Amino acid sequence: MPQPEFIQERLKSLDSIDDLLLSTLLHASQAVGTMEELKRGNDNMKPQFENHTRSFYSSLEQATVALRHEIKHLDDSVGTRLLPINVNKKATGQDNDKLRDQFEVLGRELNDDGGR
Amino acid sequence: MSDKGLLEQLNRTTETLSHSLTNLIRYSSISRERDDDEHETYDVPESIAKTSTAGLMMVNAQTAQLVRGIQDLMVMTRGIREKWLLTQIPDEKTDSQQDLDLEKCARLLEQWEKEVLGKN
Repeated sequence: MPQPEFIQERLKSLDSIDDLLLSTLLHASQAVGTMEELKRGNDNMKPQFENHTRSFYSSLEQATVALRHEIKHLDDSVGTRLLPINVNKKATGQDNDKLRDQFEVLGRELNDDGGR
Repeated sequence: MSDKGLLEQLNRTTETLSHSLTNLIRYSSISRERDDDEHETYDVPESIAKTSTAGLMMVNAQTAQLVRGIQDLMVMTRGIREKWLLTQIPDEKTDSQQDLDLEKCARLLEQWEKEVLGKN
C-alpha cells in the first residue's frame, strides 16, 4: 500500500537512524580494535583510535538527535495523522467497497428491470 | 504519555551507551587503572588471575551493554515505524472516487424508489 509522502519521509529518516546506530556500533568495534593495537605497543595507532572514538560519539549523537526529532514528529501527529490509541483496524475501507458493490448490484437490477 | 516514555528510554539508553565505551576501555586496562584509582583501596593483594578475570568479565558486560543499547534503540525505531503505519488515520483523499459515484447512486436510489416501491 503506498504511503502518504510525509509518512514515507518519516520512514526514510528512521532508516537513516538505523544506519547511524549500526555505524555507531561499527565505530565502537573499530575503537576497541585500535585500542588492542595500542596495547601491543603500536603507538602510531593513537590518532586512529581518537578518530574512531570521535566518530562513535558523533554518530551516537546524530542518531539520538534524529530519534528525538522523530519522537517529536510522532508527538505532533497524534490526533491529526495518528490515532492516540492502539486499535485493531483490520478491514479499513471494506464498508466503502461493500457500498460500491451494492450500488453496482442495484444498478444492474434496475437496468434489467428497465429492459423488460 | 507513550512519547514521554520513549524520550525517557532514549535518554537512558544513550547515557548508558556513551558510558559503556568509556567503561569498556577503562576496564580493558584494569591492571594499570588500579594504580591510579584513588577512591578504592584494596586491602588484600589480588592475584593477576583474579584481576584479569574481573577485567574480562567487565569487558564482556560492557560490550553486551553496548550491543543491547543499540538493539534497544533499533527496537524503538521499529516501534515508531509501526506506529506510523498501523495507527495512521486513513487518508480521506483516497476515497474521493466515492464522491463521484454519489450522484449516480442518488439517481439509482430514486429510480429504485419509483420502480420497486412504486412511488412517484
